[in-house]
Amino acid sequence: MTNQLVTKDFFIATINIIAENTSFSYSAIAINGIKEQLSDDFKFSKSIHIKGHSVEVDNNINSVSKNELKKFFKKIVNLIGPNYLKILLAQRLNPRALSYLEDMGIIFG
Amino acid sequence: MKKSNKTKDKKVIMLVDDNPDLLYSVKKGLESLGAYEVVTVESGRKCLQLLKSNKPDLVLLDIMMPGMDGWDVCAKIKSDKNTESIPIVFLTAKTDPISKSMGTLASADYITKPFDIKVLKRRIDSIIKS
Repeated sequence: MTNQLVTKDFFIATINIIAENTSFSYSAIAINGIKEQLSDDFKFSKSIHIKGHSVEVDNNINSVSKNELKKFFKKIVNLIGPNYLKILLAQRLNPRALSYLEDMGIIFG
Repeated sequence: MKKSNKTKDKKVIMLVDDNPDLLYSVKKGLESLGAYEVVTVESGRKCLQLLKSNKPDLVLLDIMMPGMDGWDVCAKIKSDKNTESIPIVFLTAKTDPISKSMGTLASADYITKPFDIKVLKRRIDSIIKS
């Protein structure tokens, strides 16, 4: 597992969770808005490209420290709704991505 | 579209809901408080058509509407350079915490029905002032 793969998996799962409770177009707008909101603090967010349902992540994100990536994911989870999003993410994420995130220190409960 | 008499100084609110009773009562309520001109629209598609030639100061948007729902209308408004800056407030009967949380991700606010018209006005006031 790499930062690139786990980031892609995280965003796909998050977009799907938001879409299931709203719509795909709203979900894409919402997640792009969150990414934009965090772009000053996390420059590497520019490496994440979301178009509709599709998510692409540049491989230069692999050079970002796990601690920095952890802060980024935590901010996103907190902005969306920490309690239920963590539960839903734990159900949706690829087990290897989940374990990678838990190793970073993100506790899914 | 049903439009009240134009008053130049008043901010314009576009109210979008498929329920004619709600359109009537909210328009009447907000206008009786004297602050806003309220334009009522019965569907998401009509709202998007109107936004091509009108730019209200805020859109009050129902979520559960036939045809295009409020989530998609919000996404269309926010993805168009000409309308992205218009604040949107969801007005909805969906009271679950997930919907509330989702509702504020791309909109300015989320208000559940039923609501007090004075509370709604205060929320609109604070969004428009900011």
